[in-house]
Amino acid sequence: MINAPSLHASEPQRVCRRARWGFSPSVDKPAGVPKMVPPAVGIEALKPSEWVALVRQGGPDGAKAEALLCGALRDRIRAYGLRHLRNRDLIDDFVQHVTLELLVAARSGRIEDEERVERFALGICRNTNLSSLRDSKKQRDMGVQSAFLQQAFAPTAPDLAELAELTLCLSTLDARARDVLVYSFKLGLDAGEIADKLCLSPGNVRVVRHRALARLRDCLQGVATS
Amino acid sequence: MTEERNVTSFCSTPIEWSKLVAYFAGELEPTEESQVEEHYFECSNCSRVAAVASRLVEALREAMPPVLNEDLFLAFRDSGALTRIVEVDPEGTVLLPFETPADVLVCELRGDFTGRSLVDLELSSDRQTGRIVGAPVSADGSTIRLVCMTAFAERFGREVHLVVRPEGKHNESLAGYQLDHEVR
Repeated sequence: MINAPSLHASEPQRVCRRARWGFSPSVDKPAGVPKMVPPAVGIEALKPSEWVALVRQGGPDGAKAEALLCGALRDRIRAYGLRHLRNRDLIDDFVQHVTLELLVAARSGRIEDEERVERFALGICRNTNLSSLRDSKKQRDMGVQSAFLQQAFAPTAPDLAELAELTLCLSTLDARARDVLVYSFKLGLDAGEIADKLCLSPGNVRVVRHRALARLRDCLQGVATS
Repeated sequence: MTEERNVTSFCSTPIEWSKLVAYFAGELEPTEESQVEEHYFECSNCSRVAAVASRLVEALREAMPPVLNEDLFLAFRDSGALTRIVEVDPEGTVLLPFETPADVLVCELRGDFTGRSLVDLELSSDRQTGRIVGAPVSADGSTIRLVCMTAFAERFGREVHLVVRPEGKHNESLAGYQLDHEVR
């Protein structure tokens, strides 16, 4: 069993909540920021590798750093899960499993190269046996006690408002672009199969697909910022 | 190009949008797929672009398209994704009862759309207006299949007026319908 790192309710819960459509800047920041930061600047301004060091040291700052580290890597871990799994519950379990493994490794000082903590997280993703993810549900039930992590690992549900926005934006795409997106991502068909259905070449399907997703992104970006 | 716009200057070798989309579609070779994963894990700028693409893909898995062609209608019906199918004649009113937030209703708009493969649907209510472009017409020219979901119903409100227009036309009308959403 993995003992979940503890956090206090007063700590910044926003870091593990994904921004609407992911368009807001992430909490992590570009490389190249000086290690020595003025005391007035919070832990939020540190690099992920510095958060790992704080996690290893423990204490209130360590707990806060855990939340920040989780927030900084959550979308990457979820993106990996999304690529390799289709079921939303399994993706939730995957994100929880990898994040807990990462935090436990950070607390115990097992991350040798802290400057490459993101690569370490990818390693956990790759080493996770996707078929045995259900075990991690047990970890959630047994080990996650803090309010913060319970919220972070709560099962996700489709956001109805977001789905309505998506539907409105899908309505603006031409029929072929819309069908390519639906066949590709909703039904999981590959470019060759879609090409057969829509009388296109596979190459054409790929072009239509990435342009359609870009138009959808731009439409939703407009909705999110309006 | 529009699709490259989100790539920032912080990364000297940003992942191309088209490659990222192919990644989430599962169509990259294993080596290339590994390279993409290593890149977006280690590059905070590309991770943001990947997060946007990933959210879009995840939402597309959950969402339903606003209108269905025959093939998609059969696929969704046979997979049990559709809660109810209701029909409405031209100038008629149809009650669309939603029992749960997850309900997906298909409204079959009947009419004479012979000779047209695509039409546009214009929706209006006291809350919102919207246009669905390129709605497919059934092969026999008699039906358009509109998908109705709770999220959409809540956005538009109870009474929605729908006008079928020839593709790309904004004034000419082929048929009109009244949709009466009932969200419980």
